[in-house]
Amino acid sequence: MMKSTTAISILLFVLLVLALALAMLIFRQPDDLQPVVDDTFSDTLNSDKDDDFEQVLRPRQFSFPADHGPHPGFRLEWWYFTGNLHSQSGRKFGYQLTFFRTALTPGKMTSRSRWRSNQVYMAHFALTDIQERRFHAVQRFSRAALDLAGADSSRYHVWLYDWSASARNGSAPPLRLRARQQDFSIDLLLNKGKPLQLQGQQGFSRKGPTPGNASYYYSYTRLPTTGSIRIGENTFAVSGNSWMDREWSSSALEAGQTGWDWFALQLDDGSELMFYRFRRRDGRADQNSSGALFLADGKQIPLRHSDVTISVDRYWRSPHSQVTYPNRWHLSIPGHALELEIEPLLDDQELNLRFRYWEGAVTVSGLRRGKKVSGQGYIELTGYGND
Amino acid sequence: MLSILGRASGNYLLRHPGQLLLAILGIALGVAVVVAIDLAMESAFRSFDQASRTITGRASHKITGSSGSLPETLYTQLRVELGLEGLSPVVEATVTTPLEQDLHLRLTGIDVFALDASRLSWGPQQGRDRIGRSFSRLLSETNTVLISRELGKRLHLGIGDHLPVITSNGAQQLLIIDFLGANNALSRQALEKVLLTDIATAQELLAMTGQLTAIAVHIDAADRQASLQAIQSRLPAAYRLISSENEQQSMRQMTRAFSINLQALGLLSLLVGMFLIYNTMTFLVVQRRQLLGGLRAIGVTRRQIFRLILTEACVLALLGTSIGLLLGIVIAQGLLQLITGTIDAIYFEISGADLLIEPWRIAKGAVLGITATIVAAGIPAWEATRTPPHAVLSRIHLESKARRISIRAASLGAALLATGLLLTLFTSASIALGLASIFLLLLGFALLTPAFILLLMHAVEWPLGRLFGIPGKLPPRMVAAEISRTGIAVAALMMAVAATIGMDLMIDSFRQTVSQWIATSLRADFYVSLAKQPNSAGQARSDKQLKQNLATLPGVRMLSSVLHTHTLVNGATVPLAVFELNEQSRTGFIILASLHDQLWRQFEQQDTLLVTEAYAWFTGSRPGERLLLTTPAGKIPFTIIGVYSDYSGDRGHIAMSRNLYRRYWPPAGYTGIGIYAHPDANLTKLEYRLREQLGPQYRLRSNRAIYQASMKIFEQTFLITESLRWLAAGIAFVGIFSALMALQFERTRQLGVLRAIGMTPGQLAGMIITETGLMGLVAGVFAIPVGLVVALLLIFVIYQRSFGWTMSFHLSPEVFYQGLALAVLAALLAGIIPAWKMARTKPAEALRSE
Repeated sequence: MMKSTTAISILLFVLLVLALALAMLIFRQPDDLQPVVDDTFSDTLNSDKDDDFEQVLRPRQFSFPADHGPHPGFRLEWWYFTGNLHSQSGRKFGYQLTFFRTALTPGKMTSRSRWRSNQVYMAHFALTDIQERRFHAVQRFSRAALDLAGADSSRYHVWLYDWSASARNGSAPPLRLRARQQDFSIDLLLNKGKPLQLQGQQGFSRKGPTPGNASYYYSYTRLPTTGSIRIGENTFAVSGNSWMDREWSSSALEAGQTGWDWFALQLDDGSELMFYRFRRRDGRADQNSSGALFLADGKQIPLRHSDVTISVDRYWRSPHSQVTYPNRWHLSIPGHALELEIEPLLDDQELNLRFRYWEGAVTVSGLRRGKKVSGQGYIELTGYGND
Repeated sequence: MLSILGRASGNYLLRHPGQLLLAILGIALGVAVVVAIDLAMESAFRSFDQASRTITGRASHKITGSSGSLPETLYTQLRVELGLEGLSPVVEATVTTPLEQDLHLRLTGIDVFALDASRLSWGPQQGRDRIGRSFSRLLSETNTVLISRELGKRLHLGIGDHLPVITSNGAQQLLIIDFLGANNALSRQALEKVLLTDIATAQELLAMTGQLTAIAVHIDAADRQASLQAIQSRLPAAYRLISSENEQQSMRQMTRAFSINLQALGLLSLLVGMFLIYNTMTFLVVQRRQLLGGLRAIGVTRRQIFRLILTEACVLALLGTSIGLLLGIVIAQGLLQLITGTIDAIYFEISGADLLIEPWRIAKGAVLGITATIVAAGIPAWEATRTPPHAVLSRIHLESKARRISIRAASLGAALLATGLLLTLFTSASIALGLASIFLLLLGFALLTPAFILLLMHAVEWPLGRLFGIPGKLPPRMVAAEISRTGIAVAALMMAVAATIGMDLMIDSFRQTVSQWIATSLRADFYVSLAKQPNSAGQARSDKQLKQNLATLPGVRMLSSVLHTHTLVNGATVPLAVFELNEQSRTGFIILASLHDQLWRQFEQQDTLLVTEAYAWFTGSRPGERLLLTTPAGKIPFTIIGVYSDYSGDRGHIAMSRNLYRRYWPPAGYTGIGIYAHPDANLTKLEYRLREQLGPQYRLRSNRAIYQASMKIFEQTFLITESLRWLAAGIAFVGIFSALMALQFERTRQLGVLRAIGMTPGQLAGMIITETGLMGLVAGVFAIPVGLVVALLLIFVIYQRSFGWTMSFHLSPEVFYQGLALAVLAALLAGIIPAWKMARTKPAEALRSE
């Protein structure tokens, strides 16, 4: 009797141990998991400053089409297209197509694998449908390898997968812009308008007092544009004006700078205004803000930070990110008798991508030497929500 | 409710822990084998591709090439020229590490920019601000890798340490720059043995520059059809877009034969286990016939008795099943290695498989175990309630009934045999029905066992009596007299031994057949394996150059070549072997059926094909038929002129001459080149010269080496079958052991009488041993013809249906001796303890015990 009770107890004990082991096998829990999928790429484009990159220290002699191509020795570079377009029936659209290039490390990599590259491209494509009050924005990434992404030095040609901006031959324009996404696409021809404009000091654009904190910067401020826009199943024949910015550098923001507001406005008297204003954490005006006025006759008037006053009349809080952005500006340049009211065509033009910023089509109205002017443009607001 | 009854039952069971444990063991083993096979098989499937599927964010489809790789330019073409989205390229392979033997790791190279971050369930683990840095380092530093924390722990490596790996390209050192984390258990498991690298690093490490393993494709459910159409219509014909369900499906299809065989083995174990349960339950009922009879006499109803016995069965079932499930998981771990080894060897590469324990599979096993127990216990329970009280008390009643039943069982057995045979003869393709017929036959033979025992015992009684007198006559009589016990035990043992004999014969025959086939096929003295991408134009040129160089080497008499590729036959992808043959290599083909006398001339000159036996079997094609092949020149009909033996693939392939291939397809390289030496050439010198010519990137093997490697694969394939067979035999052993224990225990009084009338303990032990030996002998003798039938069925029905192969039957007599020895030995071993126990029991005690 005693013996059998012992046997049963042993059996039950063994069973219990086995059951516990089973439970542990099945319900094994992770120990220390901090899985992160979000923001996977942001830091890829945000690495520390590295002195081994080429620096922008002095004006240079530009040479085209070579300078339309990439400058891999510099850390950062972009090809920036924005434009305000309208269909024949007057339906308004805004678009943005931007190609960014960043070098992960200085120098060139060699490998037997064609995939090996330290040059990474990112592209943003946004479309504003003013009438339907819809804003579409998507991004792409690729390394510059296997012709998946890259830029040419022999003609204006930059691409990432099947999004591209390219000139048929040699220098731009005309440029063909193509970007296609499941829900929307553009196919535009950017024709010769105003000639290429070197920004800052002959294309040497200072961003701060630190040497090297500058970029090479040139623009096409007005490119008469025709082509088509597709949204869903609907295709619209459109026309209007585009703006192109080209910039490369190895710099970062100065200490104390939190972001910038960038204005690119095309007025109907044939002039354009470019102005970027740095914002400081302490709220003071930043001495490094600057810009230029491009007159209809081709004359370029440089603008210093003290030449321009900008006041914000209204703010808008993004329902997506809860970040508050300025939403209506009064811009005045007393020295040139220019007073402008600037207002977004659509409040919600926030790009909630790996980098969050607001970039949108705006409408402009005001007075120039007492005469009414109106116009359109694009404004870029970065660094909001980070302060 | 039945507190007294319950206690009566509980007390009884507790007083016989040995019986209890054996019954539980029987259930446990049966359940364990079934569950283990189920779990291991499923885990093997699931682990296929799991790592790269997790890394690419559970892609719904993938693009693969026929030769196992794709040119990387295809990716650019799809992405840039065709603007397809949701694609991500993958370069991967299995690697090992010198840090731990047999640890297979999946080196997976990806393009992090091609991934859709919102789909991913993993990421670097270092914390938010370091993430981009990790990816940036993957891209911009060579030989950098992310591994799971678990793998780091296992290999005692941390961030910043170097992990040595061995790839097909040699030994390398990888720098661990971060750990990989996952946000769910499944992904974590899938990533546990992954080495995540950038695609460039993977290409460099694996010497796969220019190649991709696959392109993962995300297709949104929204406009699935349209997206599929878009990709499909633009994909060059050499590449395939397959959905992951389809892939899993086709994997299952491919390995269906294999898994059915395994499951059959599992069920066989359970069947043997059920015999065991039946045996134990009957024993429990019969041993208490006095108690039960008494209970019935004092007014306990049949229903109550029935319920009592079923309750006992349920308790046993629960205990046995729980242990069986746990045991099953343990066995599954071991089985998984064997299964993945086999699948790796003959089907497709799966590596680093981990056991996935799915609750519902456990539940399935539990239900199976409990049901089987209750079914097996139902008969004795029913028997206990049906018998009138006075009869329950009498053992004579039971035995006389058992004799009647053995006649009935024999006729039922004969009926089952007939059904089984008919099933085999009149179904032609179904593997499941083929297996069903084997079960019917086994069961039929099992039912014939009692009758066979009675016959055989009758036959040996006289000679034994002549030799040893009364003590000699006793054992056969006792076996016959207690047929209700011995019948079941012998039947269980017989089934297990027959299965063993059957499989041994089958494996032997298979081994002989394959060995002969390989020896016949390997006509060349040396074989060279060439690049993985023979279909590119560049490769075609360099391969051709290589072949010309080889041909001019002194000592080389002639060459042959083969190119393994794929083609579309009536819309389905079929493996195609393109042969360039010489008179000697032609003799390597075993032609089973041919249309012409001038087979080889036709083969070289006209639009003709040869097909393998497996292909002919699965597609039902015959010589004389035409197949419509999709060539770059359009769809061309080719006539099948012959069928040849081939045991290499699972679904078969078709073959054409290189002359013909050149006519319709663009130039291509080779998969292998055969080198034929001059009869008087020094092979050692030639091998040296060949190696010198070829350099390290080509693999040169002698026909001897290939033969050995092939046979090694063969043995690997059957390792699992062999292991499982031993499990079944083990269960049968437990079965016969428990039956004998029960039997001897029951006869305590009887044996007491024998001792009382003067039998010595030695004589008694000798008698019991003789008796069990006789039982083993019966089982063994009967297992021989049954095993033979099983082998014939396995070879000519199951394997023919599974693989489309015919094998020649090799009868090796030692298999029979071994089977017989196994049966007798098992029975004798099982008889030792009861014999020893009984011999030790004092006659007075024994007489009192009932």
